[in-house]
Amino acid sequence: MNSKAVLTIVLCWMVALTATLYAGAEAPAAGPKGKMPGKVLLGSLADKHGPVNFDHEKHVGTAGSCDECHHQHGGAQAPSCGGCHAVDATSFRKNVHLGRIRPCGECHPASYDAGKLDRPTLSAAYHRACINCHREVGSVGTDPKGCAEMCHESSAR
Amino acid sequence: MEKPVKDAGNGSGRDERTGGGKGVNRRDFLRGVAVAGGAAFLGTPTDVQALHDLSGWPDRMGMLTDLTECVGCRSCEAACNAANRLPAPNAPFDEKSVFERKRRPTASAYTVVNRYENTKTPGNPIYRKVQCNHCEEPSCASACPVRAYTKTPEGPVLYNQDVCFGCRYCMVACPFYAPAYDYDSALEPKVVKCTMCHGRIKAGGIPACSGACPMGAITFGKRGTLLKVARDRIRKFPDRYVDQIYGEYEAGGTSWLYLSGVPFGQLDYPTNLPRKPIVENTKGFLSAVPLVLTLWPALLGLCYAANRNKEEKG
Amino acid sequence: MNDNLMVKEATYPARFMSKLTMGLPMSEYARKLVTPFNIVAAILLTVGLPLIGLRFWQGLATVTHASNEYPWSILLGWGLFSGVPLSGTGYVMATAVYIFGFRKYHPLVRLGVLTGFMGYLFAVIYLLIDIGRPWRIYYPMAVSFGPTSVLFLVAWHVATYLTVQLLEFSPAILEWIQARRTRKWAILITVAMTIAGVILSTLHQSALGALFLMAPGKLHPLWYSAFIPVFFFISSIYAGLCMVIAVSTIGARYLREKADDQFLENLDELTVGLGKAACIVMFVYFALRMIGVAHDDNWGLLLSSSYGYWFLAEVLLFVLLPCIVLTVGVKRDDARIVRAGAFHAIAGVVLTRLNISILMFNWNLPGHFQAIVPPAREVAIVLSIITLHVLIFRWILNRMPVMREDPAYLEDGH
Repeated sequence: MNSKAVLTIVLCWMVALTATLYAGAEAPAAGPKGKMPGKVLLGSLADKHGPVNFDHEKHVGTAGSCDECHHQHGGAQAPSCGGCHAVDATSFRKNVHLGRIRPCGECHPASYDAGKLDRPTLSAAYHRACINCHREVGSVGTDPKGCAEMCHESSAR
Repeated sequence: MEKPVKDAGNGSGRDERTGGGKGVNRRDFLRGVAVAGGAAFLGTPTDVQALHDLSGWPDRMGMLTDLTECVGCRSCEAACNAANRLPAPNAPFDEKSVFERKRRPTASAYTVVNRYENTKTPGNPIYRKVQCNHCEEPSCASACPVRAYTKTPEGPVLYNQDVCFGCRYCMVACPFYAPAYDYDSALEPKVVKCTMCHGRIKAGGIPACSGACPMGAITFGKRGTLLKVARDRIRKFPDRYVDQIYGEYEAGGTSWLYLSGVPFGQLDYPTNLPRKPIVENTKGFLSAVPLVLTLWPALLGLCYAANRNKEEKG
Repeated sequence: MNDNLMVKEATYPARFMSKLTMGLPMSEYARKLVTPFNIVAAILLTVGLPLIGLRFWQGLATVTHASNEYPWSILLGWGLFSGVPLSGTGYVMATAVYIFGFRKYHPLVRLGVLTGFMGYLFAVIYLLIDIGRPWRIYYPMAVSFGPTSVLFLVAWHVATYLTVQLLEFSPAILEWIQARRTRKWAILITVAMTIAGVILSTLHQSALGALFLMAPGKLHPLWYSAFIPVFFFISSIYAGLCMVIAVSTIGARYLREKADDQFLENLDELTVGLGKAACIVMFVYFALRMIGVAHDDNWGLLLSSSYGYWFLAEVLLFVLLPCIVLTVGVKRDDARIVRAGAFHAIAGVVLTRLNISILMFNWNLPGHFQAIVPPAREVAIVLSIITLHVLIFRWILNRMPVMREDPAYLEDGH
């Protein structure tokens, strides 16, 4: 599979994901199943790493709460609202009150950004979210096999 | 008057070529003047005084290692090895058994990661990355009798093997045990240490280790900004960090800064270092040198004259 | 005229050989060389010299304990840091005689200057073996200057002082080769060279201590002191005095026939005189060491750990005790006691220097005391250089007017 194809798939997925999220935005609390993604292909950095086939549904059951990963609003590591965006009544209602989950890349820079040193890059954010629980699983190293053992697709690199 | 400082990367500075770093700066200029004035022989206290004002380089870069984030994957070691084209290691970079003993940077590794017991959260080991800290006022540079070291305006401290004769006083003077020496080389031994990827920085990139860290545990940026970031983290997560940024003041401050969840002494960081640059300790001595050079001949000449006088009379 | 020249040319090699074999026929000279001492020396050289070759073939790692944590091994701890203070003999004796006018010590000046010159020469030899690229040793003087470095100062001063000492000793060489006219010039510069020697010695003896001012985190606080340069300088004075006592004792004993009556007859009296000077300096030094402890308020460290006891052993057993022995010898006017005290004091100086450069350096690293044990190869190298040192020293004493005055030049003085 060449990288263009991967990118296309990733883009499709992201569009679909965004659409799903917006569609369910009005009533997120009611009947989470079906509104939440089942499997997500985390591939926005696919040019660097093999994309990760992330079983979201499975993790919903094992993680304590959404905040464990989606920390941006109310999670343990959450910065203050103003730390990321200007807050007004509209944005408050839209984001906080409605509890909508935002894509990680919205805050975390995809690559090194000298202006956002206080925020981990997207890749680091993903890794932190996963490794915090999976710390001693597999051999976390640079060998693609090691990374693949845990998350990354082995065909990459 | 002054030879331009050669591109002073480690090894042959392959990576540094792009920058072509001519580290001639204000301090070099002062030193040059001092040497030209024959003051080299006098020990030049003026030069020492000129050493501790770095306000001219506000944009110097630094690195912030957050030890609470590091998971010991050794990606930084691998990236460093590749970026600097160092020899292949004995054990592959995903080998975890290397953590069984404490390692240090060597002639073939600019950086290593060591594992420590976590006294705060047992079972969750702490990993410490070790490399040259690129001091604000590098002891190695002050100690070097042939000025093989240059503190660049960008922050990195670079070593130039073309003038080094291998006295290894830099290694004695380095409070962090950073420089390694090529003891196995019979005829071309050199000091080996991290260059903070000076060439990459000059070309607008970031150091290899920082770019490779999957956990974002090594942040590259302006030292001033990094200090703010580090303080911010301590303020926001007081339970996560000890209230200290290692490298902020140690031995006059270092480019490399560290945040930790346990006291730094538990991780073998030297905790007995002065807050002022170590070169200050020799300042008094070097200032006395011109005094001896001028007063001794006068006093001894006087003694000699007095004795001659006595002998002639007697 | 041409004939005359021919004769001269023919006799030069012969005269040269006769100088080398001390006037003996070659066969007899060779036979006289076979002594137990020389056999032991030959063995030590046979073992050590190839190992020096190995260092330049396979690298320092194969012969020394030097490592990334311990950049300096006993090659420097012994050869440079102990060797240089023990070579303070030259400046101490020349100053006493030529500047302060203690003329009666004149018979010991040349021995002092030679001991000093040889000490520095061999310190440089140890250095050449130890440093990475010895052919660049002149770089601090000619290629790249690092004036903020204490070692830069040491390099300049040791190089200059080596030259100064060669000039100071040159009259003896010139007398040996009977170069009367050149000798006159050499004598003329004596006072200037002596003053230069004191300045250079003051600075580099203290600078050797100041080197360690750059290692505050590594040297044990009892030994790390802002006064280290002063300690090193003051101890080099009594080290020099005691070395003159030691070397003259050995010379008068084993090379008695190479010394003249003036040397032998006055030796006991001069020894006591030197001992007197040495014990005064040692009392000063002891007091300074105590002031050093007080200055950093390190009293608490003295009795709280084995490092403290070791420090006390050094200053009490290897500074104060030999000082007392010297004092007793001086009071009783007994040269034998003074000599014992001098040897003891020398051991003390070596111990202090080894403490600072090796034993207490990196004291807080794990596995420190295993790390500093020198490998057999390095010990063999050091022993072979010591042997070479002694052999060359003896070679010179045997031939040149050092412990005696050449009758031909008596009236010229010096």
